[in-house]
Amino acid sequence: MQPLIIAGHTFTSRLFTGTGKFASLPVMEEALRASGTELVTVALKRVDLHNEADDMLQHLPFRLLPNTSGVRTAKEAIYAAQLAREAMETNWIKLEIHPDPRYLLPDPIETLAAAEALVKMGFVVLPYIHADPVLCKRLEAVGTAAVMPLGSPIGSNKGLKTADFLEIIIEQSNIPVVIDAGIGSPSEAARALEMGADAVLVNTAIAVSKNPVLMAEAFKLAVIAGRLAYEAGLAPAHKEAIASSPLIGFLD
Amino acid sequence: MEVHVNNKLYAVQPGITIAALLQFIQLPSDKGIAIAINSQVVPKATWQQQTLQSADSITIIRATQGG
Repeated sequence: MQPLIIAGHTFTSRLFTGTGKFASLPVMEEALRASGTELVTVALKRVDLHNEADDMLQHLPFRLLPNTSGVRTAKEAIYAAQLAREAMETNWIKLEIHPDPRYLLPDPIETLAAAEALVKMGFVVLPYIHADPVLCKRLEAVGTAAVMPLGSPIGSNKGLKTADFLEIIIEQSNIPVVIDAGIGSPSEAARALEMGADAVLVNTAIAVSKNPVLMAEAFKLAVIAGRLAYEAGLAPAHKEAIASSPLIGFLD
Repeated sequence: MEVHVNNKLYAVQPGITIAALLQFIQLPSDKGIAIAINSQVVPKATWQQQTLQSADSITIIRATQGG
């Protein structure tokens, strides 16, 4: 399987994972290890001055990808990115600006403005966006390290509702395409990779499963299968049957 | 003088540095946290020198679980 390179960093796993919604930190860590992931997202919060025990995230053996979740504008996103860089000592940032809490759909105008500014400030920017091929090219033009179009709304587990547009994005993109949000099952992750997506980011489907550790392994295998199928090249589809066995011979 | 730390009011010595404030509020380690004064991020390298003004609003953040 070919490795994935983003901003000069090589990943052997094409499964990126989130750290939200797990029932406990030990379950999260075990699931992340089972997933084989090498890049995990984290959010930011204000330190609780009277209840500080949860710095386990700092010690996870994965590259951390802080996100800007909670911001509503480009200005707030830039502030969050600067805080994240200072706290986590990484210039990688998952840029997400979704002002509407009901559907959590990303604001393309604020995202493009923030992406352009953050690239100039030296950040490796991975923007969460709608599956908009035009926006993806605009983000590529301002220098983002990847694009992260959604399959369906965050946490919805509805799968690749945007598949037709993801295919256009994948066809046109010169930077890695990471399908983020909405992937609810390993089969959908496999399909994303078969389509040529460079990676997927999965959180809810693993974290909210009855058995997150087992589900993490299922996603790991699905992503490998999907990528191998893409590299092998899917056989073409036909309307009519084409025999796999010889139709003449032994009864004559 | 009084300052706000994560929206809570604290009475501190005038001219206190960020490093001293962290001791005062018993945040033992500077690992994994970031600090802003009045929404301006303050680089860790200057925490020993950077002093606070009365009525400053200090934000201290760290990583948490998220997707």
